[in-house]
Amino acid sequence: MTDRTVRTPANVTYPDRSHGSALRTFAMGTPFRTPDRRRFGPLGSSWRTPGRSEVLKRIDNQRIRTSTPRSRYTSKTAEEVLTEHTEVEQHNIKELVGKVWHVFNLTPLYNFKENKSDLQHYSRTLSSHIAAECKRGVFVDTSEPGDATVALFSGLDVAADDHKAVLIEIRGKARNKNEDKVISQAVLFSTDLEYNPLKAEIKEEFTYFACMLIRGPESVSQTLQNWIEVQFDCKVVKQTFTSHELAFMAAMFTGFSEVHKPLELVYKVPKEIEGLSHIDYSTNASDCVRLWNKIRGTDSEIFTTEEANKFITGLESHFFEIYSIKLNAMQLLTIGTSIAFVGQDGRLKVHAKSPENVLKVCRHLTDVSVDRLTVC
Amino acid sequence: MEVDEAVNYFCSAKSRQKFRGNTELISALECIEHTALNKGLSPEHISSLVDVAAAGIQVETVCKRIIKSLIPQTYVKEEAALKCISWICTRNPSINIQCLLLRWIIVIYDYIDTRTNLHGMYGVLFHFLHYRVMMPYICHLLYLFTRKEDVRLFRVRFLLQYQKDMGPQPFLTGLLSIYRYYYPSLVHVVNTRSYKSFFPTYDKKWSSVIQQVREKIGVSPTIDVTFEKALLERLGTSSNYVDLMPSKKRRKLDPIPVLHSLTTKSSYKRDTMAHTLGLQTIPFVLIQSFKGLLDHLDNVEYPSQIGAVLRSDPLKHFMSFTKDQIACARFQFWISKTLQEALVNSLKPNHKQRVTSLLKSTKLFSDFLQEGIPAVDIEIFDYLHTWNGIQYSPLILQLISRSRIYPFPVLYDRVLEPLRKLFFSSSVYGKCKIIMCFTDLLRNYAANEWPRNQEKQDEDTSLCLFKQDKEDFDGSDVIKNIVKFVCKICLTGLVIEKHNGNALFEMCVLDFLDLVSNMHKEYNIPFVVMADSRLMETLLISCNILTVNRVCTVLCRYKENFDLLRAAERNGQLKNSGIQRETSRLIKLCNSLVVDFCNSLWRLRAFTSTDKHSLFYQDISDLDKENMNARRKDNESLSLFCHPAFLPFTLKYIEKNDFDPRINIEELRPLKRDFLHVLERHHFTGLSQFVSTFVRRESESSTSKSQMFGFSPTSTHVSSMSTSRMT
Repeated sequence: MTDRTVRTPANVTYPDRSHGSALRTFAMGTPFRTPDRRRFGPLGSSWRTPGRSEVLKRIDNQRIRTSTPRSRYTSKTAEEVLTEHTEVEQHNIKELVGKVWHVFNLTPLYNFKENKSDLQHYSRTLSSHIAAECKRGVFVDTSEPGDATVALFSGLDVAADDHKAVLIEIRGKARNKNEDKVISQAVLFSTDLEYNPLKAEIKEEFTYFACMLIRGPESVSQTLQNWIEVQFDCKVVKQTFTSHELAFMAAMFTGFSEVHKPLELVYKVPKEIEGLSHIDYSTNASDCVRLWNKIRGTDSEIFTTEEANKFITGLESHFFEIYSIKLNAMQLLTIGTSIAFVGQDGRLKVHAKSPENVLKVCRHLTDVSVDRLTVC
Repeated sequence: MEVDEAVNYFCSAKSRQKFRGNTELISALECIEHTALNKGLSPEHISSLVDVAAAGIQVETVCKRIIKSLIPQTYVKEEAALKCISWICTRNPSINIQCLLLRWIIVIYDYIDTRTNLHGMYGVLFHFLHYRVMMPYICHLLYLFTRKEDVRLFRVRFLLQYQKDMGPQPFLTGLLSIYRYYYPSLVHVVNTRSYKSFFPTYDKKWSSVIQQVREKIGVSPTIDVTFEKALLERLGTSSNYVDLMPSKKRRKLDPIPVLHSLTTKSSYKRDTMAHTLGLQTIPFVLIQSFKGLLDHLDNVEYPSQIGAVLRSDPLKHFMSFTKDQIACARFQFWISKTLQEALVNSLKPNHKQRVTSLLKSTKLFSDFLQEGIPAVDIEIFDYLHTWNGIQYSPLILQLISRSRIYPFPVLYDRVLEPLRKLFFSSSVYGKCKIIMCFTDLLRNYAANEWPRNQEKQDEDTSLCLFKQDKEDFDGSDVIKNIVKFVCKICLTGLVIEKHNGNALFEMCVLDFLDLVSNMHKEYNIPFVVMADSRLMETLLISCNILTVNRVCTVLCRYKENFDLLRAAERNGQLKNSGIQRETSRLIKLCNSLVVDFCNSLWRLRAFTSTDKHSLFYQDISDLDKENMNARRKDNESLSLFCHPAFLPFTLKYIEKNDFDPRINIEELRPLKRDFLHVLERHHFTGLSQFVSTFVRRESESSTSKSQMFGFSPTSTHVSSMSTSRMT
């Protein structure tokens, strides 16, 4: 079993960008990210207070990447005080837990205003749009949607560059029932942006939400995406995760040390092998955490591909020893950790118990989305 | 009875007259009808008859018949329509007459000469919506001449309220759809119908009668095409896509959005304020043609989805004129995501059509602007790494050749390297396509990107629409390196493709060399780039006469360019001394090539033992000193007569002049120039051009044939190469 440092799963068609390729080191596109390193805040560190974001606003690769800046350590004691969230925020963050979301990428929204009258206007437009689609007979088999509300959603914006998150709720009646309940929700957010990808001269007109989570019936989701595209002149793209990214997330989420669910990896078996379609590999969570702690000796901020690879190859080589099946030749379809369940087609379900970890998941999603945005 | 008399009769009638049995009245009426059906009525008559009909003095049937016969001969005066409306206001004529008057206005709407005052009547007409009988006709009329400033919030509210009370009526929906066209944010009604279903033409017969009469006379159908008419045409033709929100299926089928007005809420408030100031903003929806754009250049606003620029030419003009960076940013975000989705995720075969049309429209836009769009560049370069070389290949190659100039290492990594891999793994046709792509790329750089690179930053008059943060790098470096790279792969390609389809490939390579040799003259690049000498020499020994011909022309062109460059330097136009030294070195290279060519073709001494760098170098020690004959044969093998490319023509020449087929080359020597003329007649003029440029005619005075060749740029740096040898 060779210790491979590069994962090449079988059927990936998307160019695997996460290998620190030359594509990203030139100042075209999003200029300054090398995505084989991710920000990772384990074990009670680094929620940045507004004051400290000055340090990180300087787009300085070296300082952020390889060493933890001094300022983080000096005010470590002050952190605990400032990382309390208000009750509303706690409630909002809890809203994300336990539901199956689909993840989408957004380009910056044009002309999004956040004062109350504008939000009401958006709500009304969306409601009438949904009513129009109803009349056209799009929602035949599902419940009939009614009103929509667009509102700000606090708690998910952490850094100074973040815009307050937006929650869009669509209420409706299920067929043959009378009560009105929420049938679909969408959250647009960008948590803990390291830097604002928009250039200074256009920043006022555009609002950047890195990521959008939608839950609910597919037709309502499509209607909502259409409306956003036309209203704000943006493009909504479904977010898919490659096997490499899923493995990275599996490793990273294990590090958050929640142990109430086992680590589950589902692999897809190539079609040539008959009789077997998926392999489901579950490991006890506390064992995974132990493996994790062995791999990551230091308490650093940065979490690299090599560490993730070591983790995954550890698990896979263990499987190989027992069953003689090479898992790294197969495509990873979904991962399930105590923090979240993530699927290759962009499905997400957050199980995390503490709000910090939910925010960390959001932050990772934001990172992944920002990488995919090209800014010229 | 004359029409004038008839009209006068009616006008002068002050009191109600009996209809039955009143021969005078009936004859007057019939006269009017008859004239109307044959020739149409003049504007003045129409105006007076409107008064008569609406005044209600006559019996109702008479009025009806008069109105029905109000067929215009040329045009209708605006006051006639105004009079109609004012008579309706008086509530004097019966309701049927009122409706008939409205229908008449709708029918002759196109023939009213001016409509300025009519627009002022908008409020009055809107008031009549309260009367249910007249409502369809009023809606239709309002539909015809609503302008942007007529859309007011209270009117919208009234219509929506009415619709809620009475249920959706087609005419109300129609009027609301016009309102929504101007302000999508105010009106939230969806409609799936088209113009025709809103207002069923209930007066088809009437309007057809009018058209017939007018055709009989020979008048053109309408007076002028105004703004509103353009709007109607647009709404009428686009049947399914009037709706603002595309369905999911449509979004997938056609990712390029349609033009729509702005969806922001604030635009209404801003416009009401602007209107009081006398300004007017036109949504882009209404601009149909370039002329329309010019007319309203100050007032136009961008549509809600900027991706629609790929569909609309006037919008392209507008975008490049205003150079609005916000619109450019919107466009770049949109196009980068759309291309990502299209190129990376296109796995199903029925996506191909979509992606091809998307790429085509992008290419058209890029060609229109004559610059590369940075976002498109990034996406295409990313795609190259996984591209199979076949899918969408003409479009991808064209988009590559339109790209912007980047520093050479970047360009190499992202473009040249993947293309090189594809080059060596494809057939000869694939190779030709790639060489053509490189030729276009170089041409684009020379013509468009070089000036852009040279201009200083922060200048107000910039040459490009999509601004990019510029890095400081030298464009000349890029151009030289590209030429070097392409020459290298051409050379390798020539060697590989020695046996199959060589001619086509050589032609493509020569196209490239033509461009390279002429860059200074055509595009004002302040230096000359010399192609790889090995490449030229390889082309010289090819078996195709076209190639040999063209490669000689290339050399002649180089001389021309070097001469121009030297002249410019002497005139002080180019101050760079580095360039001068470089140029001297290149001239030396060129000279050695010229010597080689001359030696092999003209002087029958192909192989040289002096110039080590030439292709034709033969070490003396290797030669068999004894076999002078063989050596001579070798030397002659590339001559004008024995060169494999020219051999067919030589044989023909010998045959034609009835020489002995086993004639010796020596005997043919004096006939060299004659042979050149023969070739010229076959349109192979390159060789003669070469000879006339580089080979000086022997002087008549000297007995020995001395030939001087080579060219010497008149500067002190380079010595002229002139040798005279005894042949």
